[in-house]
Amino acid sequence: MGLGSYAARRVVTGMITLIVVMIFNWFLFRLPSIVTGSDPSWYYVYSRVAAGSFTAERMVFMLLSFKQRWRIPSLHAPIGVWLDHLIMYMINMFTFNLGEDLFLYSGRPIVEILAARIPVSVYLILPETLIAIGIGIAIGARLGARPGGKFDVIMMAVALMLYSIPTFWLQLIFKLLFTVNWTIWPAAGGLFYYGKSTSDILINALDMFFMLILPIMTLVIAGFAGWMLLMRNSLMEVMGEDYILTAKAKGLDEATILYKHAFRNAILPVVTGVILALAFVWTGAVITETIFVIPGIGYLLFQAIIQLDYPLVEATFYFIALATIFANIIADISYALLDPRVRY
Amino acid sequence: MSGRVKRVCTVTIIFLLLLALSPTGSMCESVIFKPDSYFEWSIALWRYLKGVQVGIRALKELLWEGSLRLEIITVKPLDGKFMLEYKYVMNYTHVVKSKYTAQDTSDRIQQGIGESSYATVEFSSTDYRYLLGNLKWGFNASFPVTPLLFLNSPRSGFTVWLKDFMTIQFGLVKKECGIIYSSWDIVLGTYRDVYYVEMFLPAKYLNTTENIVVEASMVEIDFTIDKEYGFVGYLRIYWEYSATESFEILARITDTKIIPHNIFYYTVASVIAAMIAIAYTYKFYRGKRRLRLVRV
Repeated sequence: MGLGSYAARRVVTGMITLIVVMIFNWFLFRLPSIVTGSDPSWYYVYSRVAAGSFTAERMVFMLLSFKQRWRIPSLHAPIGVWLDHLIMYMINMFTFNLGEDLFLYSGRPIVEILAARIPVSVYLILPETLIAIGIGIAIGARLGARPGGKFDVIMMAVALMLYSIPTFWLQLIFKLLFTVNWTIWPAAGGLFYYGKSTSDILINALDMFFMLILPIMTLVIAGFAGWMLLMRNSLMEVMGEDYILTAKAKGLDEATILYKHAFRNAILPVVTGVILALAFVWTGAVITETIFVIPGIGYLLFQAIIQLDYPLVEATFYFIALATIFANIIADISYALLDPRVRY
Repeated sequence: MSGRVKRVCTVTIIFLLLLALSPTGSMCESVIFKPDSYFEWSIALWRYLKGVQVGIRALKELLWEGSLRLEIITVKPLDGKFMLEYKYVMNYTHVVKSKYTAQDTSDRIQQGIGESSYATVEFSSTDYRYLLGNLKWGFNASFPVTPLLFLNSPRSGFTVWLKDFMTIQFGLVKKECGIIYSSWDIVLGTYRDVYYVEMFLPAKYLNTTENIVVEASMVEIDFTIDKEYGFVGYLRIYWEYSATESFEILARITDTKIIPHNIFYYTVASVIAAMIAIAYTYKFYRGKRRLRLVRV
């Protein structure tokens, strides 16, 4: 099978996966209603209105507004209505007509909300991913080349410790130290968070950079160990192959064996991981963004869940699924491109 | 084309033309009521315990079950109107609990007193709404939709009328308080085009004289209307009765003479059977062909 047909097959498989994910996502948000028999629109009204504070007429229109904004029929609707609803939902998702949010922005189109949040997540996750991968691969290659050495033993212990530390705990400790004890960074926000970005791009960039140093630092510390271990193990495996022995027998120097023969083969599994990691550049980091109050996709998801903003959560889930499936396809195609032996 | 085929085609075309041109009912006749027809609905009353504002299935109990039978005896055209002779009876078949007293259980609910009627009424063919009776189901309330409400859904402008029907006064303006879906449903096992309506009202709009404690309580009325015959196929009325309890009435059509039954299920079963038959035939012939090739 040629690369073109392999790529086409992966795209088709990806589309099928997306449809399945879409149906699952649609079902997921209606499952509590189906199981409990309750209507989320009634819950929505009563979660926001204290008894007796509104007239019945006003509550009726709140309920209707919820139904129209989320475009959700009652649980008791006939099968035809539900199927029509599912088909419309899928068409809307495919065409990025994600509807409007309920509370956070009081009816703003969700596409606009996501578009405003994506760059912030990218500013946070992209540098973190690249730095963590760079450090991880560099140290991992060094360890893989000489396993069992003093540096390997020390680094393995450090890596395993960092790998085991929960990221949120590390972030809370860092936040406590750097924002409360030493007051180097503010606890939250920045110009962009408060919507006070200036027209000066340099000031905005510096402001964002300053605000994101701490979360990026914590994510790199917690994240590079995984890349390091992956690279080390992959290189160790390759170093035991026959062709490495042949290269050694030919009398090639160590650097040539390592970088020309071993490293290029060992990097292949890492490449897949890198591309998959890049998918999450768009989707943000829920816990990190929440702890450091960074208004990216992750924090948006957190806020939407807390506020029971169903359409927003649903759309964010869809966006994350879409980014992941897209990255998977790219990862598979890149892998096939890098390693000509891969043709499924 | 052979002469026989031509003849069959001609007869078929003439038949189809006659069918298309045949009168489908004049203005003075009803297109939704058919003489000697009947409808039966199963109806149940549920109570949500603890007065949960969000109805949860686990917190509800059955109060009674019953059935409503409506018979259309005659439909006579009468000067741009039609005269309808009908009777209905509401039977309570399984009374678990009464909303009121033991007396009420035995008299008002169990015997269905006051909930049967024989009447001859005049309706205009141009009306959108034919109300054949008021069902109270033991409550001192007037429900805007019951199975005895027939709607002239085939008539043009019906949805406009329905939207107007679903309006409530909100401050100085009248606003729509419901959503209409034009869709389909499986009614008595048969595919039917229906309107599905979700309607929300303040509970005080039920004109109830009973003691509703919560002033801001609401009613949700979900119902389907058959697009061809205008009957209510499914009805759910959920309303907050008081601060401590809510009620739900569920009605579903269980029998009628005017639409065929189980056509959808038969079709699905036939399609599955046909697919299996095709698969087997294909497998059989493929096996035969292979056998022939082996022999060769």
